[in-house]
Amino acid sequence: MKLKAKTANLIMAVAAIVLGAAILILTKVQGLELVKSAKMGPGFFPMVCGIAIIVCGILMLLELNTQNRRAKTDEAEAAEMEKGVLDPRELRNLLVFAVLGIGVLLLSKYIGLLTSLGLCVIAYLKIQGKDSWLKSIITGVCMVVFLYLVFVLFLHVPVPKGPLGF
Amino acid sequence: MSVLSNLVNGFSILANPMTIVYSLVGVVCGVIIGALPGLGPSVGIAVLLPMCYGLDPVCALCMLCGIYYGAMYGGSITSILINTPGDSAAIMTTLDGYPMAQKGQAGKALGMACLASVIGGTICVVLFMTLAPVISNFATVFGPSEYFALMVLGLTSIAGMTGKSPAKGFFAAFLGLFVAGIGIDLIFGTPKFVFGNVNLYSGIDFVPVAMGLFGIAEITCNFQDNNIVVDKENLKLKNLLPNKEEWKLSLPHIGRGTILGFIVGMLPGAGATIASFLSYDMAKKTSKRGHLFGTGVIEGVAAPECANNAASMGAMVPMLTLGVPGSGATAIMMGALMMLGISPGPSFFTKEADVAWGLVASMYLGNVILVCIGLGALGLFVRILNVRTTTLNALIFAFILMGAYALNNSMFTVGVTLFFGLLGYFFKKVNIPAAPMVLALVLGALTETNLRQALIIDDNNFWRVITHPISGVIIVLAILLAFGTPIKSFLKKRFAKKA
Repeated sequence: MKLKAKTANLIMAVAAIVLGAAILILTKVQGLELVKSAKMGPGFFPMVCGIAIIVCGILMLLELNTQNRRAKTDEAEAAEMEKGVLDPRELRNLLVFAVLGIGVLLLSKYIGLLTSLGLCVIAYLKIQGKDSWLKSIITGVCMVVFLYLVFVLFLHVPVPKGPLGF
Repeated sequence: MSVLSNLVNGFSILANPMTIVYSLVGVVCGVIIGALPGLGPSVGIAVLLPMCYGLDPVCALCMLCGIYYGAMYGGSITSILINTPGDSAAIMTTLDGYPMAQKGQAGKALGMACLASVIGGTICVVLFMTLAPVISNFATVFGPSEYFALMVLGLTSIAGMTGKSPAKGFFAAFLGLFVAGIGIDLIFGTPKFVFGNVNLYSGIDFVPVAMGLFGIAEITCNFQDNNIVVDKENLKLKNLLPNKEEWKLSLPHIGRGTILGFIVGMLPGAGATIASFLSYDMAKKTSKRGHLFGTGVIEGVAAPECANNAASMGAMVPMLTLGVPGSGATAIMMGALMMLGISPGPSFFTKEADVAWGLVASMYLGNVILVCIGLGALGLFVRILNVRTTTLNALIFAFILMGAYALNNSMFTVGVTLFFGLLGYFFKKVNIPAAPMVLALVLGALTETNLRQALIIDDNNFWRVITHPISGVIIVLAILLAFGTPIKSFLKKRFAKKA
């Protein structure tokens, strides 16, 4: 599926307006007052941000409209607007990072953070780098050793440990 | 005299060997990250921030500064060797650097890039150490209303980071301001947007946001392997050093480019990229060989390289003396300082004199280290740059996740980093700049707190807050910076109509 730049920009502008509106609604729902005890209340800044985000969303729509009009006479602008914004390779990379990241979040409690990060490096090199098992494992182990030296030994960060004690 | 005695004190702080080690680590990491296409100083500082946790502030600052100016030079390596700028500030270096490499003068171009960076950097340290304490002294009378005005001035630098679409830049900034407000309200103690999650009570730190937006988002889009082939003979020291004639041609441009870069760097939102463009353009106009620019002339490498390093030093002046970061990289650096318990601002040179003067001394040291490794370890950098991108991506990803955990010893921060990495990727796809969001996140809490304190002092009268003599002047400056260009074009049109 090809997501054109103009569609992506339209989605972004609408998302900004929705986000701004959500901030305003949440400010109200959470009972954050604009003025409290005759002082600027905790809801004042979020409300300003919400309104400003809605205004930015509307301005993005106006910019998009101007670009659309220019695209009718300007070929370069038209090509820019029709250009696809999502690259399948990037999306695959993003998906791999997301899955591995979530994997680290879930597994670190059971097998330790360093081990799960080592496995994450090995898996990435196998999936995206198409490296050999040997090279992937050596790189993963070296990274774990490096992280252990920097964060555990040097910076004394208490990392979640697995059954193997690291 | 006091400047000199303070500087001596600064050098005595540097006698700690660890400071030198951190400077060295910073410069080496900076050069490597700066040289990797797509990864600039902001990414470098964001990714390596975790290494500063729990460090002595001087060591941490030395490392961060080392990364900053190391990255500035590093960008030129790939610009010259493979015509691919490591970051936007190195774009102008490709114009003459790459043609020089094609003529078999890659070593000379790299040598000049390094030396021009170091000369520019060193001159700017002198300017920095003369100017910064003066500004600090002037700013010691600042109260909450003046600080609020300064924060507004800092936020207007977003106008210079918005690229083609100001609406997108300001959207990112307001989103950053909103995220900065999450957590317990500092004055009333009311929880804001925490949804019962205890991890959100202390707010969202800027570190995971910066690591996600800059680090993860960048490595997600980074695929291209570098394939750098250089004749080893070219990288020998004797071939890196420019001859007398080349110095004669380049030195005037280095001098002019340095001053220009320093001034441009101090302006909020201008930054190293604009400085290198202006410096190259000025060199082209003032050089006897202006018509040869673009064909591989050495002064075409010297001018932008000294200017981008000078701009990085210039950007530190408002950040350290006024607490106003003018770029994404200095915003991250300011956040890092605050994480270490140091408040950059008018009192920095008085309350944190040891750190401040240690930093100034480290800048001299950093430049010495830069010239040593820039000329002595080029072969090694070229080998590192040829490591496969997927390998680097995997290592950077693991480092970011570990760093995110180490910030609060919490997996929640890792989740926040992943979330902002995802958001950063989509921001990149729709051309929403990440720097304004980080800048707003760093300045957001300070802006809100100072405004609310100022309102309490001034009986809730906003007009009085912004019309204090100093805050008034700063607010006018901020308005001019943010809206100067549209106001100018509006007035131009109006006068043209009348005429």
